[in-house]
Amino acid sequence: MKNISKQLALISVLILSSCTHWIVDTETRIQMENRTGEEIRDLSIVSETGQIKILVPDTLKKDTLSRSYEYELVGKFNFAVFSRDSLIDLGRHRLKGGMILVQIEKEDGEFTLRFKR
Amino acid sequence: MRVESYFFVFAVFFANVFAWHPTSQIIEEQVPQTAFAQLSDFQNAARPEYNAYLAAGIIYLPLPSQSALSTEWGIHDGFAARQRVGIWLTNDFDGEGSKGPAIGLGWFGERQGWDNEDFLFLPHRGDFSQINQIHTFGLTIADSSKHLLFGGGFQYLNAEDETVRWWLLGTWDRFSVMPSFHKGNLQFINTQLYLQARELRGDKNSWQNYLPDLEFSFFSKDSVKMFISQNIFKQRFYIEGAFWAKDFAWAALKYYPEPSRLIMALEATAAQKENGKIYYGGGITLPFLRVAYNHADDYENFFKSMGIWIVEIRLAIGTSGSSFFALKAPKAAPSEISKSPVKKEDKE
Repeated sequence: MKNISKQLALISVLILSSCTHWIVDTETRIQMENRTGEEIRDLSIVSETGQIKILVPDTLKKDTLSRSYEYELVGKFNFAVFSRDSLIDLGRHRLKGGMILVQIEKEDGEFTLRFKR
Repeated sequence: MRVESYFFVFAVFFANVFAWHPTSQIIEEQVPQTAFAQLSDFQNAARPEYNAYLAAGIIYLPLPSQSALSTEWGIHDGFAARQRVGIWLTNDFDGEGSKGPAIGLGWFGERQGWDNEDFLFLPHRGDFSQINQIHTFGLTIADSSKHLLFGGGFQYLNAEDETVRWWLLGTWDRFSVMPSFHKGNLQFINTQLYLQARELRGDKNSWQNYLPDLEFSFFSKDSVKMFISQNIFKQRFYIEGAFWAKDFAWAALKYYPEPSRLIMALEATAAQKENGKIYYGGGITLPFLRVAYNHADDYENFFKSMGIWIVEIRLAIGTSGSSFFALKAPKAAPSEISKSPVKKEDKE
């Protein structure tokens, strides 16, 4: 009997050992909201070598929402957005996974990024 | 936000204090090292006096931030994985004794890499996943009374590109040599001089218990690795070291409460990183579980990991006659059935 419970414990540990992805999001659905008061487009992440991967390929007039896009990106990335054909660095942020609303704001001429779940 | 997420946000923050991130380059460079380690394990498991070997291991990392992948885009949460299995069975695997030479078949396999979801059977294979496989297949023929074993087989490496290597194995008593080739090119020669007297091999207890186990691995002219294991106290306490031609790789103090090494192993290690810094770690190995932190073995065999707790659900057991022992062990585990492990000579 003792052996059986040992084996059951082992089996349950084995099964549980690969189930973290059941409770942690491994995908992110991103939607962008423009609160800057001017037109922005193409929310992106920027690589160390300067490559750009566009996450939200929409052009947003002021106070509008983009469509939602899904990516296998969870972690820390450098964000940027285009405004009047210039790339604006939004800094390094942690993307938590799940449904995320990215609000772009402009205060004192500075673009800032805020996540809202 | 789901309730569980709060726990994970906390845990993620906690685990992020340490900064170890595998890169795709490290994962790629792991493949030849594992290919070597796997053949070395095969060499240790398939001995002329032994009947069977069974090993399995799966590293369990509960949090996606423990082994987040570093790419040019940033840091990706996910899971570094290492799953391995090792089987070597001879036609005399039950230890009943067989007529003529013992034929053995072996398969040592490992799946390793990084995936953005954890998995037991099928990897998710996400956008940045990188999963490599290394498999060794082999055939051995042994005569235990003459302490002779010959073997050969191939090794399949499925990484960025697929390669098939082939290898030969010759073991006579305390001496063993194993060359590995890719097509006609020699990859390495692994030479073992296991001078320590092993009861499992039929040696008697004597001062020879205190002879060292030596291993020389020739990768190329300038790249030779040496391993030494020295018994300090009753085949329970060992000091071990590994050195490159000019450089120190790692050193360890290992304590086995019991010489079969099956019940428990306590290890303290010091390893040298590539930048020359030495760091310390250790671990405890139980029959089905290994817990380690900063262990030199994990630095070598698990993507240069450090600063994280490694929990491995594992098993490694060899048999000779009706006795059991762990890899490289000098003596069999005490058992009521087995009295003297290698007794085939006496039978005749």
